[in-house]
Amino acid sequence: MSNIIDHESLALELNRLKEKTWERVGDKDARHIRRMIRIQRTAEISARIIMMLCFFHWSFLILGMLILAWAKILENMEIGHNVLHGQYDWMNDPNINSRHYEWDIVSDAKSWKRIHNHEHHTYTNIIGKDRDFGYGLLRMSNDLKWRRKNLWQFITYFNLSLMFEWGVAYHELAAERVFIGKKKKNRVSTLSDQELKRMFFQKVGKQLFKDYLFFPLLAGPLFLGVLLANLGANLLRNLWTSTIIFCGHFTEDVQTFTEKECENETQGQWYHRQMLGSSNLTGPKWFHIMTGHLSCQIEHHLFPDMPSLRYTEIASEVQAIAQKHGIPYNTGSFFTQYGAVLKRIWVHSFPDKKHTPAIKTQ
Amino acid sequence: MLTKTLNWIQSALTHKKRWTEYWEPIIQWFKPNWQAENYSAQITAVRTEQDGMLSLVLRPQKNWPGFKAGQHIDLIHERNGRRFYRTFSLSHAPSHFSENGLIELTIRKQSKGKITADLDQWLSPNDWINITEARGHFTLPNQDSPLLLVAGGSGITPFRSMLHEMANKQSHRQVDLMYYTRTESLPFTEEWTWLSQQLPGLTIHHFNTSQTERINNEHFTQFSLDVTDRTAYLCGPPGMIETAKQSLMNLGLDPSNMHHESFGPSITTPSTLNSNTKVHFAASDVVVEHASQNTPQSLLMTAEAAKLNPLSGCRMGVCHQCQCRKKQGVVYNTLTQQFSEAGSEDIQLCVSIPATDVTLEL
Repeated sequence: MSNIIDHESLALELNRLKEKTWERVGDKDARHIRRMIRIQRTAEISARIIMMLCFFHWSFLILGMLILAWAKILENMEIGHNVLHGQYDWMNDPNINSRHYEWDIVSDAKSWKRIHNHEHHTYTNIIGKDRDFGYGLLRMSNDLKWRRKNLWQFITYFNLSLMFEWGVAYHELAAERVFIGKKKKNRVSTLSDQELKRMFFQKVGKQLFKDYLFFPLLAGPLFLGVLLANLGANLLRNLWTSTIIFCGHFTEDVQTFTEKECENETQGQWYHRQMLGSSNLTGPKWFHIMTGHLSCQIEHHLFPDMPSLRYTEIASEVQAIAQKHGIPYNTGSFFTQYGAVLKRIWVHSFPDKKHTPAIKTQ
Repeated sequence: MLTKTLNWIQSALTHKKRWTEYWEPIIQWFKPNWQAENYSAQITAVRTEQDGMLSLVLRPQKNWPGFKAGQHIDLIHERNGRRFYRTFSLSHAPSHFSENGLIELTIRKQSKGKITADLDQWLSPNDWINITEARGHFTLPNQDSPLLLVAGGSGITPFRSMLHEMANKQSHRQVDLMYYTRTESLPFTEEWTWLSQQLPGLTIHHFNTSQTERINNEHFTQFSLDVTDRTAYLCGPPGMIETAKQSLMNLGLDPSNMHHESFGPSITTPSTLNSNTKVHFAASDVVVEHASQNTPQSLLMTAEAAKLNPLSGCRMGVCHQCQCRKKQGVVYNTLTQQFSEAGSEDIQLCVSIPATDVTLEL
């Protein structure tokens, strides 16, 4: 990372912004999250009922599927992700609390919190530490050695997008380790493999039961129709969440770091890295909500436990601070950013033309 | 077996511990004050008892389970999006509740208190508020043994409930009430004469601590009270209870016949307690030096100072909301005055002080 940046005053300014914003947090945020939950529950229940109307006409299945996908996205992004980050723990409401919340996705909330909140948010974009960088499947930077499988990684990427929730659950479990026994030296886990497996299968079982057995069975003869509609809703949700998340970390200018660069990092340097490792999306309010405010990935990475509604509010101030310190603030429309992601995946499918000194992991 | 299966299905469908938790936001469309884990109550009157002391008259929702004289409830009050829990004794008789459906809470306004200082400005008749079920073991035994009640300040509230209950049952039980206040006049002024008329066995000894001495041995002996055959109930500030217990023990009262309830966090620590320990909050990956030299600090306060936003409730070891898994280390419980085991177990943060270095799952 560049040395000319005054990390001390960067930390000071961002901490001041954080304090100032937290002072405003209160009623408005509590009303927002309660409203989101209420809308989500209503949509979810309506979707399940609408699907059952397929006795009259099959097109109800399509409508139900779309509403269910929408409800699942809202639950995973604006509610689940943010509640699990502890953004609403200050409300002291046991039902909107990171320690009790469980979400509608195969990944178990407790495992996800352990890996995502800790590993990904602390070691953002550090190659070898942040396993979210490419999920061990994609080569997203020339810091990683090119392998033959990268040739078809564009296809791998689309498969990952469709199966995203499974990818995340499997990945959080550190499945290579648990199932196959591959161990990495720099990873310490407080949980035994047995426990990890138990948590994984418990949650997976519940999810499969709900969408692919219980509700289809309720439909009786139209079992298969409801099953397919539920599958469709899950796939649509996967596609959306994956796309948004890739836009947050894998756009063109997002940088990566080595473990060495980040040793003995100060708070200012940490903030700096978070800003370089994330990118934002612009859009209307409903768009921000549907992304769970991950459209403000930069703000989210600076202040992960701040109530999401505040991200859009402070974005211009964060941008001003970035500008003042000469730190790039990566933002753009959805299509520009997504284009950049696809380009990045494509470019890194092939071995580097120029020889860049790659960091060897072996 | 059946309940287990139903619970599993429930959690698979809703991801929640209970059905009601899932439906809560929907039910709140129609009943804004409905809560899955608590009860709602309507305020029918706010009555000033004395300067700085007020009573709330509440009508709990129909299925509120009722209480025994001497028990307490939590009043749940939401302010600026945050829920606060405060514990108060029920100050009127259970028979009054069964006849009129009304309960009373008598509250001393703490000038420095976050909630009670201006509670009357927030609450007015016809407002709805949330309460918990009644809890506590500060209740009278069934037999007719003679009683000694010692109250300090607003510690009179559970005794008011007991005396009204006795009056309703036209009890002839021998009761001595020693009541310590800082003022000449007593709250519930007119009631005392009425209660004395109804209860032939009742004698009230009032001590105005602004003029007489605080509680001591002579207060018991000056009325030539034989305390040895009494069952004693003590309620008031922790200091008063400590002295009263000591005096009564000196006068030959068996400690097993003493019951006490103190209010305010009564953090008394044994002098042997190590004053400097390290607290490791595992999930947040934070280590804090826990220094409790002069004023011992609970783990809850330490966690809050570290901005971890733990769930909290009554802050006096009653409601178990701040319950947290301790992974290792010994803590001292200020309520039970016991040291914990060193291994993994659930502890109540608000009444726990670390005795050694402690690791918490928080």
